[in-house]
Amino acid sequence: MRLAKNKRGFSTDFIADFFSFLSFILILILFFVIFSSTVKISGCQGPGIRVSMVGEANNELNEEMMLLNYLRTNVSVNNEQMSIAELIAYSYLDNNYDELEEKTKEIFGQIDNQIYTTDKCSAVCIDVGNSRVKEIKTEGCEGAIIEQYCQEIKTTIPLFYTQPVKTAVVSLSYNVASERVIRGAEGSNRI
Amino acid sequence: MKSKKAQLGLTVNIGAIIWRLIYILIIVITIRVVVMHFIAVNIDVREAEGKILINRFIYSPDCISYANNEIGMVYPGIIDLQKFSQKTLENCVYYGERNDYAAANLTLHFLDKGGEITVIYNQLGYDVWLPRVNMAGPGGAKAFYDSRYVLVRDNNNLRRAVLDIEVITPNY
Repeated sequence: MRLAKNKRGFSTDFIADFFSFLSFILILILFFVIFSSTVKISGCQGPGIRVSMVGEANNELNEEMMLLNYLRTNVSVNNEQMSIAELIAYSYLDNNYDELEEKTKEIFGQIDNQIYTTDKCSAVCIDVGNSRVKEIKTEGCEGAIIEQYCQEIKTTIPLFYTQPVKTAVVSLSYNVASERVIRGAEGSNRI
Repeated sequence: MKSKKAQLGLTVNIGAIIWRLIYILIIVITIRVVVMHFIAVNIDVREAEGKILINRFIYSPDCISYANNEIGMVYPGIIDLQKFSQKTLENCVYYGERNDYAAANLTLHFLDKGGEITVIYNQLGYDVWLPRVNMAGPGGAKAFYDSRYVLVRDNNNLRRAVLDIEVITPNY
């Protein structure tokens, strides 16, 4: 107060206030930087917080179900009914994957045409031991750029008729190259 | 009678106080804005609830999934055509006599021979809320969609199908 009683004191006060205001702004910026990253890490997004972790788990469940159902799907090969899992075993024995590739493209083509307006890019990979024996990419993959595929959703199946019985790891990446656009639900909320 | 020097000192002092008051006001407003920014008063969890409802339909042993009662095993992803009915849905997910919580439309599109079957969960709620989808505020409703590749058990045959699910929840 003593300083405020002359012009020199007033200017000192003003400088002190100015710097305290500046440091307050810096603290605010620091606060936003720290808390923004913390909120993102904890699985929430921005002020309109969304429960994104539920969504991620749900997508994984969907893809696991799709892989299981793909392997269970019955197909007709040379007038004989068998599941895709059995066809994989036959194809491995014969070292001929043409039939498997054709049936896989047919199955995913039908699914995509029912759910989406166009073919989507999906990939099925079959690994035996440490080597990849077959990669099948669907029609929608032509001209598409796929950065990562066949890495997350996997299941192990026995290769029947091999002695001793070997196992194959089948992995699926569904709709990996493009945005999902749902048929008949434009502008709505796709879960 | 104060001197001119004393009057000048008082003027300067009031100026500094006003400046500081403005400064404190800015700080108070800023703190309030920051707190309001990080405190979520309303969290919309309807999307998560919709997903949970869909998963209950698909994964529950008492719902539409095929279950082998002899070994007590449920096959999620395989729909039992005999259980695919409104009655089954109403029994497996029960929200009281008057369901103000959610309604759903489940449609099976068969991929092998074509054709489709539709069942509605909470018919009354569905009829009331469907025209109000995307209307904001109380009285409006929000719809969520999901599609899954499923196998349908029809007289010991496994048929390929896509299950389209539409869940509608009212705004509160």
